[in-house]
Amino acid sequence: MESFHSRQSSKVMAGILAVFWVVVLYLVLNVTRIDPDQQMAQKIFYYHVPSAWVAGLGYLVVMFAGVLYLTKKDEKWDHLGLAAAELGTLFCALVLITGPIWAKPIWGAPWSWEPRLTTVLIMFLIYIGYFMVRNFGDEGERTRRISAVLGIAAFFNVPIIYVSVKFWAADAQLHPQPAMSQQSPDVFWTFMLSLLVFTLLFVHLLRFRVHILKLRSIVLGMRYDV
Amino acid sequence: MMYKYFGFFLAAFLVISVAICSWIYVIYQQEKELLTELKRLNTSKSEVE
Repeated sequence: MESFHSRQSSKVMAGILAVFWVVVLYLVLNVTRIDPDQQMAQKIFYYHVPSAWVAGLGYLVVMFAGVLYLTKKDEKWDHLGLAAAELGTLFCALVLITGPIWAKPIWGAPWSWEPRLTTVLIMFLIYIGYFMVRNFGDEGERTRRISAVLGIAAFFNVPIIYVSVKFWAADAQLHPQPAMSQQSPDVFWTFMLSLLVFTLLFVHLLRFRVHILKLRSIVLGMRYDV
Repeated sequence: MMYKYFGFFLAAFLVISVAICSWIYVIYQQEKELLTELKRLNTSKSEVE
């Protein structure tokens, strides 16, 4: 089995992502307008929102992989689910870190127990539980099955996170409301490019992690044989 | 001209960049170890056969 980055397609994708990471930073710093109130703090949004999108996407993949594992009992779906859960949680952690970095100068406090922030924190904690199941359980089928069920159940929190800015009473809300259609083209297109780069990064890292999990599975099988 | 709150933006950008790079580094090291182990196991298997 070869190294993931010895493949031509992986090398090309890694190069494209590195270039576009710099392009997005350039656009964010030099092309997008400065918000008169929030100034540079507003620009955190170009990284915070795509991180949240990728976290949600990761948890969606965990849900589908869980359903496919329970129906087909194929190890590859378990690998996909675990890889997506790891990435989803990595990006969810980044949302929970960059949000308070923005909130400190704008709200005057890094955290508020308002609906959006609280539901994202709940999602993160559910996935801490998911990894506890994976780590404290054995490598067997039972742990995979429980993880698949947990991954499916956990996804029901994602739509709740999405509607949380509208669902709860207005006086409980503090998180900015989504209004991308009202933004100027420089903001809109930079945001869209950032969203695309984060999505491609997620796909690339997911393929990389699945490759490692497959490799690990082969090594464990061979250890048993030898 | 340096705009207000530049430090906050820089902190958020660095947190994201460092976290992603660290994740890639850890996974890359894991891959390297697994490939070495796979090579070793293949050699042992050939010797046994």
